[in-house]
Amino acid sequence: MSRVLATYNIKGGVGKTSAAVNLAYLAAAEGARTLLWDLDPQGAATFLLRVRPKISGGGRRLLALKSPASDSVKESDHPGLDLLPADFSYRHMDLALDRYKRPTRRLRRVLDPLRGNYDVIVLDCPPSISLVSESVFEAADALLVPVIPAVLPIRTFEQLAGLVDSQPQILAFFSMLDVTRPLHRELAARLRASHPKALLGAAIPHSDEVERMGAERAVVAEFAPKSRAAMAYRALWWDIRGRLRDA
Amino acid sequence: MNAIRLLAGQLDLSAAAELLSASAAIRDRGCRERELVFLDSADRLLRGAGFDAVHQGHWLELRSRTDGTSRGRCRLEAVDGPLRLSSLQAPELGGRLRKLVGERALLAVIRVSLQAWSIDVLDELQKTVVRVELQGVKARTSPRGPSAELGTLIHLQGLRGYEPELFRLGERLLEVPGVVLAGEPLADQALRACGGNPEGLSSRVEVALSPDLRADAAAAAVSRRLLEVIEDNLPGAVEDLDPEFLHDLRVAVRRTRSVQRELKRVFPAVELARHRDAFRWLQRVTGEVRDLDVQLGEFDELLGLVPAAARPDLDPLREVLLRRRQRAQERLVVDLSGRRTRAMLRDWAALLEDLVELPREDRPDSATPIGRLVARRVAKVHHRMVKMGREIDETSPAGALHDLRKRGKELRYLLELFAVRLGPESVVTPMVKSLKGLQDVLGRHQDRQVQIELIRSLAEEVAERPGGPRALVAMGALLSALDQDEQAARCEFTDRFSGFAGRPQRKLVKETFR
Repeated sequence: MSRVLATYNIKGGVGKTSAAVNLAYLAAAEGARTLLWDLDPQGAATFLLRVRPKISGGGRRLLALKSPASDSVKESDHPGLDLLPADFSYRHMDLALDRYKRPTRRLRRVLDPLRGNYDVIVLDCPPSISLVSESVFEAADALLVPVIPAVLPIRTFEQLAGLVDSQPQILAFFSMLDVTRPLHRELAARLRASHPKALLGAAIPHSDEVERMGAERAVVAEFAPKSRAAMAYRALWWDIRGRLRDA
Repeated sequence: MNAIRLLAGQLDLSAAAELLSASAAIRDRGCRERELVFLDSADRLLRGAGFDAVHQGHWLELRSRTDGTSRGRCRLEAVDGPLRLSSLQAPELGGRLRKLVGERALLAVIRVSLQAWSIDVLDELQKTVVRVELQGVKARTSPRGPSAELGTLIHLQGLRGYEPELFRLGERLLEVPGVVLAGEPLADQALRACGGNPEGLSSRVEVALSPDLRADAAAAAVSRRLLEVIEDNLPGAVEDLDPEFLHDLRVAVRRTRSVQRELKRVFPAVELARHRDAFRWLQRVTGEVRDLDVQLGEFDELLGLVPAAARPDLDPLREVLLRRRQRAQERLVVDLSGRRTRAMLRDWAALLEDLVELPREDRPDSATPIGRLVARRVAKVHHRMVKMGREIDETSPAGALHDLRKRGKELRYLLELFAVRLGPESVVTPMVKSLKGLQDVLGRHQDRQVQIELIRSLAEEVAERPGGPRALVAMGALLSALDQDEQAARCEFTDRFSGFAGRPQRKLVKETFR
């Protein structure tokens, strides 16, 4: 049975998509049958994997379960990694979900027929707190939450930790961490102390390689396999895997 | 379907690559060489089920022939002889293979050397939409044997969600003169190029017969096919590739003996006697190994008949069976490879070749239409079986059931070799079914007897081995269980026989086989 991991944060620009794409790539590289669903109407993950951001019938048709989601899946250039692309119509997904009796269960129902085909499903979520987010909480086994070690992002994380009870599991990690900055070090230490279970050991450094992903339209391991960022994502994946096994 | 294979004839790899770049935006992934070994049972059970087992590098993989998808793989360093599934360190893949091929060994059917040039076809987003492999292919049936060239093949592998792109590219390439669809999978193509038959060995005897055909011509045709089966399976039995070679060989020998007996009046009497002796000898010298193969193949089932705590105690019995089997196989190799076997098969082939031309004076049924002769024999054997079966009661010795079983085999072979092609299916098929039901219970009865005798005969040898005394105690429990099952089979006999020998069946046989 597959594990569903969702990269999630209320704030945008914190490294959700970079994490989603790199982690999905690493899962597939290890031999796990992996699906990445780009739920963000911006379609950044879809762009990075060089797929056209289009779902036949749009998000509404997907939620209506009129045709199987598998019909819209595209095989990426990476063995073992498939993509359920973004579509601009996802910007109305909250409205589309609201039409259903139990709206927060709908995404799970879309995913259920796919679970037998994949070992890992990664959801790249849009930055928001909405019906879509709540549906993701219902569908996911774990939320992967990138946190920039700064006051406001940490505050947002604490709001999220308060909102989500025990399910799904929260696995947070520092993103764009700059260990040369004293404030980053101090805030990181403080958050680790206050949320020891939720914080993963691995962290993603602030790096040019991650920024270059957009220009390269590739995962970091493809164009900079020996970079700090590539190794950090690998460590992050191992950390996540370990935590999922323990859960 | 997400793969298309094309034959590009005499185009070399560079020309094929140029062709491709003229059709689409591409990314060159470079050239590499690959060696593939396709494995299957001698009778191509994997192929028949729609799979290929392919060894490449250090891996053995089971692939669907339809779409090339993997159905499991395991590490295997090299293919250097028959691959027995018990040696695979992969329970899941081994289980899947066992369901497909049973106890048959996997043999290297064809070896393919590929010079493969990988090219990705891209869309306007520089996304790979089709993976292409231009393949320069050579094939050989053995590592140092001569090779055959297959020319250039173009393998188009589609990506999920990009099926239209795959088909469009395939259509564009097919417009090029000389490029055609490959009609069959690579393994079959390669094997044919080397003069082989992709269907492998078959032990089926399907000879076209008409009821008016002269009986000697029919007997010769069926016997020639049986001789082919014997000769096809002989090397595998000698090399001990897997137990099925010997089994199929012995079935063909038994069927031949049945033809010799049931249709004896189409053969010259004096010569036939010589050939019957020869085939009787062949049956005898192959019997011991076959009996031991059956015991070893069913050993786990035998273990199930004793209490769980006693099962490990039977290890010495298995060791003795294995040792006996090894010695018996050594004797078998001498017999089957020897002059006597070669001569008897050659002489039998010569008789069959000339049979129809031989004088008819001492072959009274030679010109009888085969339909009439078979009908006569089926009716007679059936009648004989009914008479024998009616005389069997709870006091009859075991030998009476064995004799009935032997007659049953005669009838079965008459039906399978001849009557199915000559008689009405609506009669023959149910008759074969009810006969099979009877033979199953007679077979179980005899098999248990054979097992009891064999195990008893091994007692002294087992006693001398480490753990021997404990093994003897466990063997006692085993013998008791076998004896009970033999009795149970005997109890089932009456019911099965009444189905076979009942009035409706007898009436049908009388009306059909006059």
